[in-house]
Amino acid sequence: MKRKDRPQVLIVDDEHDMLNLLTKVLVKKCGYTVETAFSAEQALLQLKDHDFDVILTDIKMPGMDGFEFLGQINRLDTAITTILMTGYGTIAMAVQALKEGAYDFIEKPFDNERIIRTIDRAVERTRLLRENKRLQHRLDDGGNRHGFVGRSQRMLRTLELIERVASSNVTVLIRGESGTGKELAARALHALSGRAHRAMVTVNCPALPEHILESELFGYRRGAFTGADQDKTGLFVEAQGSTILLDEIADIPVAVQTKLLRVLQQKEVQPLGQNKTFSVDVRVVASTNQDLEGKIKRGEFREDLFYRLNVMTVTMPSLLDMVSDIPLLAQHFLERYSKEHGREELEFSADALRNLMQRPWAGNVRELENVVNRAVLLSQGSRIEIEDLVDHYSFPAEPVQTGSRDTWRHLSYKEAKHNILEQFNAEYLTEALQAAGGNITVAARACGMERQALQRLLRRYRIEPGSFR
Amino acid sequence: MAEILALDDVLDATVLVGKILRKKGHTVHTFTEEDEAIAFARKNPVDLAILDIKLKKMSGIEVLAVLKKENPSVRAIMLTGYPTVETAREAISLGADEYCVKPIDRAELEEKVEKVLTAGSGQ
Repeated sequence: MKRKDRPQVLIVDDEHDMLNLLTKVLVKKCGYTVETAFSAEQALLQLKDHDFDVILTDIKMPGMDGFEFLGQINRLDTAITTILMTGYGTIAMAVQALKEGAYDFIEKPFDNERIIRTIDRAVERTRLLRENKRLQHRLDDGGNRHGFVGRSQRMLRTLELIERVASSNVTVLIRGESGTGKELAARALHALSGRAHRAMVTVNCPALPEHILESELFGYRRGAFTGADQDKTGLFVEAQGSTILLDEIADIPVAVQTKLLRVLQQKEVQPLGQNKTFSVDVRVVASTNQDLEGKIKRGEFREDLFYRLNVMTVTMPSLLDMVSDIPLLAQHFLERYSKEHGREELEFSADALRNLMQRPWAGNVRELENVVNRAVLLSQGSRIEIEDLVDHYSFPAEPVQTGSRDTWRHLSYKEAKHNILEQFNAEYLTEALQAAGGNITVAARACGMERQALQRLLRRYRIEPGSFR
Repeated sequence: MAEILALDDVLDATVLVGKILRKKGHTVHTFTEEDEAIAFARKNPVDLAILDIKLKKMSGIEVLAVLKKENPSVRAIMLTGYPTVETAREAISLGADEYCVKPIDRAELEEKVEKVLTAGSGQ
């Protein structure tokens, strides 16, 4: 058995002899991984960053007693099985213990066979409870598997893959275009894993500048740099026993990539300014919508990190890969937003649904969601028509052919012209900025206009030049 | 007021429990035979069962299991002269609300019954 798969038992007793004796029995005869604590207070600290299956605790201890400790454990994780033990038990005490949720109550001195039997049963109980919870979670999601609505073959295959890899500890790389549900997939991976009872930690990598990202991820020691006036725990340590999602991993600087590689390889982190390393038990899930292979070729992404991350890849289907799911998804968002905006009994006209199925959907499910949300707010009657699905006021995230001839005949001259112009401006300016690498002066020169004029246009069409750099 | 079933292999014990609880206004059905008690509970759902553990043919724990299976909302108090951690554990895990040790005095019995019945109606 690998160390990770062995049942983890925590023994709490203020008598050293008792701890030694019990540890010896449980390690030798049962092969369990055993940790010990001299007090309930100390045990609670250990519980913070360790997953135990069974806790065996004395009742009479200085400080917090076994009953109070039991209450705390139950608040923390009801799947942990607790056994109380005492030197001078009374029936009243046993009844109290059992009613408060202890699994068993044992009087000292006890024979080894008895304790082994009890702990074996307790381990089994925890295993069943955790398994049950996982299955329950799956059932609850029945109509809506882990938040995913799609029923196309492509989506179902992806969900099966997620369910299969969830319970292991392997690093998973989630790829897919923007708006395909990469974060939702990461949440599902976490929720279906044995780590679900702890909160998942999410890091949006490009949101943080290089040096801040580094100290956020790995922490630092007081005095590591100017302004580090106290120790800081990194997110990896915070995610101990849980899952960490590194969102948009492609955007992290190479220096941080090197450190990340070390975490993945050695399972330990070294805070800035600290000589010591700390071992961590964290499942890493990374996501990206970028071409990592291309980044590797350009030397912007470490190849060895890529292979570490790429142990298991889940690729989220784009909306184009699952066109047959569009009506289902549209209906799902329609129900959600009509409830939210108090506009029930709305429906799509047949034309509107057809229009939704024919669009290119560069922004994928997220874009579909936004379009439906807006339509619910804007539609006049009880039916959503094509007009309600066309956005007159803001340009789409990526060039989208909303102004195709198909939709013209449903619009007034003014609206149609406005649409086409809007689309032209958005595409033209986007391309100009892309070509200029986000440099406004260069772009303006290429377009044959003044810098200020270009800036005005960018503001009007809400294009952020920074996003092209 | 509640419908209460009392089962004990000693007739006097059931009589005593019956007397105390009837004074409190409850209807008490007393039995010394397990099968008769179970057959009664099957036909006439009771609110609370007070069960001795050492009986003639079955144990009170087994009776508890049968009653709970038939009617999961039935409340139960175990009453025994031979308390062990083992039977306490089993009784509680089968859903008994209290596990009391004989001899039990009148005030304690009244108080436990009251407590169990109020907890039951609150659910």
